[in-house]
Amino acid sequence: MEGGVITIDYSLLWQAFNMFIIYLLIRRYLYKPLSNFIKGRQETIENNLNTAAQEKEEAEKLRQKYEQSLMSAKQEAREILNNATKQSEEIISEGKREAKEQGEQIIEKAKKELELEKEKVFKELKDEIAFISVRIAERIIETKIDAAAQRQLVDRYLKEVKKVS
Amino acid sequence: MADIIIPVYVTINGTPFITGSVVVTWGIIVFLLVLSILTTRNMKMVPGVLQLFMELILAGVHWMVDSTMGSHRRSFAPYLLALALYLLVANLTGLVAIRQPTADLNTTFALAGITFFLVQVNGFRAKKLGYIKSFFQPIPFMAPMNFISELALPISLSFRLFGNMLGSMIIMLMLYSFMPILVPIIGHGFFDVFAGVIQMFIFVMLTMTFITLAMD
Repeated sequence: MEGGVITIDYSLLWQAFNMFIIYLLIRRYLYKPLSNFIKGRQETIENNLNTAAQEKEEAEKLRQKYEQSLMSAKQEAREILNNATKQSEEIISEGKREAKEQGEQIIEKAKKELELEKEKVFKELKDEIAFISVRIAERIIETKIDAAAQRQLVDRYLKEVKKVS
Repeated sequence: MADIIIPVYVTINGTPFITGSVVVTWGIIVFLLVLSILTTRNMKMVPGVLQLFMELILAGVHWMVDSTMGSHRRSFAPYLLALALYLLVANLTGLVAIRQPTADLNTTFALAGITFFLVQVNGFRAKKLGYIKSFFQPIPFMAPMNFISELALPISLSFRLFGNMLGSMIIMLMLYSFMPILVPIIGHGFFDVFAGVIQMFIFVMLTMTFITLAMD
């Protein structure tokens, strides 16, 4: 039994049915799983890219924050250093000033004391000299002179002593 | 070597029922099923060769659907993928000395009939009564010609594929009888691989175009 070359027969129905079967099988076993897989992969890649971009952004923000804090820390350190320098300078100058003042005070005081001492010494000396000179005069002259003349004599002598000193 | 005459295995009242083309198509069904299961059984993020190849074909079908039908008609993609894979394998069976099922008018007419059915059903579904009215455009007098052009669609579609594949097969038979050594390789390259892939592409493309034309 053999068919022709260009004939239409019942095998046409078989071929249409076969094509329907192929359609069902391809849809069930190839199209759906494969296209779902491709879609899923696309989503995964997109998600990964988005996450990566986000993370990069966050890292950039973090970096900027760190840089800023580093800068402010540097600034602070510089300020602290500046302050310390200024303070130390102030302390030094204050110290110098105080020392100078104290020194001047000491000198002043010493001068004053010296003056007082000098005056005291002069006074003592004056009395002593007066006494001694009277005694000497008494001894030398061996004569008594009246008190007023004696006083005059001592004063003149003292003036001479003052001139010398 | 394949014969021009199609072998018949079962007849009903003397009319062929199960022929060589039907049996080969069953083989192709099994082949495509195994291929599908092998492809989708163990899919990886980084695809292997088989997965990559099938992804390429799927992407190609999606691309064709998007560019000729519009991406909102991707629901046709599964049928078009099935059609493309079946036609590709069927047209290439000549390479392994099996008579192409597509060199049988019954096969091509069945496929063109499905396309015709899809065109009419989807055209009616998209435009309802407007689709029937479109047969009487621009003037009712034109209706017979519109019907004829509509009927010419499956006939031209089926005979194009059938003629190409039968012609390829006959030329290959002649080449084998005249120059059986080395020369048929060139013939296989052109008539089986080139013509087969091109005819598959044309058939799928025309199916998409006709459905789109009927729906828009």
